[in-house]
Amino acid sequence: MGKWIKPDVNTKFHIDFDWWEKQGRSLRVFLHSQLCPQCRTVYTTYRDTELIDWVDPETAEVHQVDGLWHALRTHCSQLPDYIDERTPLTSAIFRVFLANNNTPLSPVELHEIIGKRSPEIILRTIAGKQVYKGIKPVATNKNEDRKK
Amino acid sequence: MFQRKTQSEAFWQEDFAVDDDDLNHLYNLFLEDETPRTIQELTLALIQGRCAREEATIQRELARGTVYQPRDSYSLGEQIVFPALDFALGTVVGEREGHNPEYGEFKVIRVRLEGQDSEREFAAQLQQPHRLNLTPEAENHLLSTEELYQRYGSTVQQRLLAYLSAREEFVNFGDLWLPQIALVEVHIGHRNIAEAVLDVNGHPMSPEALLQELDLSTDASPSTQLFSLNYALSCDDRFDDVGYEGQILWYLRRLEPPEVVYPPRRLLYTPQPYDRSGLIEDLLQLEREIDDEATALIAPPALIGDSVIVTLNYPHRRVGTLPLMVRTRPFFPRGSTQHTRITFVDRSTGKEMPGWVVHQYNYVYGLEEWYKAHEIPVGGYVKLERTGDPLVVGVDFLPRRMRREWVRVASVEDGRLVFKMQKMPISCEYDELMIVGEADADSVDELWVRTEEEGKPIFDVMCEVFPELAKLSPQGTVHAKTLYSAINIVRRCPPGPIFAELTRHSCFQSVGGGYWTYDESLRGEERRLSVMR
Repeated sequence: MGKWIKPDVNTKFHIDFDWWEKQGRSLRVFLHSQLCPQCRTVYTTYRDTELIDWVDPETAEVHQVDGLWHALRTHCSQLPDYIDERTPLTSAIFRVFLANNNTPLSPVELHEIIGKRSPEIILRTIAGKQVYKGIKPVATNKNEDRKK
Repeated sequence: MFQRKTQSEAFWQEDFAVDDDDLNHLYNLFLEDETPRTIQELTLALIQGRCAREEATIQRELARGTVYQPRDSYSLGEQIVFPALDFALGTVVGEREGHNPEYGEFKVIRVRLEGQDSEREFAAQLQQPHRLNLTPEAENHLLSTEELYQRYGSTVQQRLLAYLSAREEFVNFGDLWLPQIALVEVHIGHRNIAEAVLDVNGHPMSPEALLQELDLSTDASPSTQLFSLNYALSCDDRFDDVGYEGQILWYLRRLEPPEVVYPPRRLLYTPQPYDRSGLIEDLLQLEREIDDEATALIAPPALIGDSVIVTLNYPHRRVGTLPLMVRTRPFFPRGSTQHTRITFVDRSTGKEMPGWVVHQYNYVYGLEEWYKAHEIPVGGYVKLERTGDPLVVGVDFLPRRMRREWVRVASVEDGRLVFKMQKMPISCEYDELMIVGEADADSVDELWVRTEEEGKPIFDVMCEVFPELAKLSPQGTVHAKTLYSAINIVRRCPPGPIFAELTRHSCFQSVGGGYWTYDESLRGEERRLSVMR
């Protein structure tokens, strides 16, 4: 296990899927709850959605993708109310990671996307003792190199 | 529907390049009827050829198997052509149920594409609409070759022109092109006969008339014979096209005045970069009024009447020319590199005089004697009038009773241009700000040659000329138009660069109404332009 380094506003965060497993909570149930009303009529349950056949609109070639994740990324996240003024900060951060395929982002970058609160407040929210929705610092060399 | 490359903007604007197949297509066109074609006709023919080639390729590819459409069902072993994958051919090797709540029931076929080891999956019996499903409506929405020409013709034409210009197999005369091999031989003997005919005739002749005098001994079409004659004469320095837009007339260069064949140095201006951003509105207005032919970027006036009045400047007065500028151009036939022969008619006497429009250098030659006969001064008004014939232009001045007027007269003293006020007899209307007389043309010419050869900056010329003009006025002021007129005695220059120097240097100070003063002690200082605005 690497040495623990105190995160700052430039530390990269992401959704840690292991955290969901360790907590005994189902990420898929939570993903399903994040779908927009229209997608919920298509995906009535979270079950049997891990692999669906997605048809390429240009070539009609079939690729297997995670249904819930795909719907969130390609449809729900494009809606104007996906993240708005009323979305709580932790939910907004979580939805950013869903939309960008869980690409790691720092509080500074999250602040630029979300457009509210300061990077410091975002850092304090997601780097505290309590872990929200599995959002944790990425244990990568990049983060560690930056500290040196 | 499947995308045809020729239907996309990206293909014509970015990917398209003329290739050997295009060239063969154009060659075949020429071989069919041996007719010269314009670059516009060739461009359209090239687009038609490209579309036809693509269609033939598509049909050939599609014949290899069933055209893939996501809505259709396929059996194991069936051969399918995939238009979206560059017409790849594949064999169905498996099938399973598709799973996607969004699409409803559908199948997924497994396909092995020709030349690939791995298998790929495609949708089949898909109920959802998909762009690869062929519909008659979509096929009918293809742009026609004429529509493609309208949209992308200019880009294609540029590339075709560059391609043809770089190939020796094609030759052009003006806008017309023909393969070299289709040319009818017009040998030196033919050209000598043409020269003799023109010599005897004494006036320009059309290629059709010349052709009748030559025995080309050929079965080629009349249009090819005409093209060949025009091309051969254009390559022979003895001949000159003196027609105008849409009308070719051949003449002998040696029968033309030298001022037509070789542009007079007095009129030549080598553009120098200068900053127009500082020009204040009244200077811009003066620039429009002067309308020098070397000035660019001036919008034409909305209405062109049947006559126009031009103020004569020094270079044109000396050479016997008139400027071809925004206001005068509509009174003369249009042309490009031709020297168009016209006739001037003196409105006061009815006398006819030969004139020459030199389109490339923006002047009309032929008024030297007329200027002298009527004693038109620099700054005098010259009136041009339309006639019913585009090759005949009326020329007149604005007469008045002869009076002796005080006029600034240029002469050379100690190698410098100086001005004095002298009385001169004048019997025509003129622009008081532009009028300049000269005491000794030869010494002025010597000074002009020296100034041009030294390449003295226009600012230095201004600093020499301005004080000479200023001393003629009790207030020591000089009008910007007067400065322009005087400077052009020793240096050809449109008003723009002169006015730019006026506004740039602190030694020149505007006192309003287009008048300026000069302070030698500030000569090295530049003005902050924002102060002027």
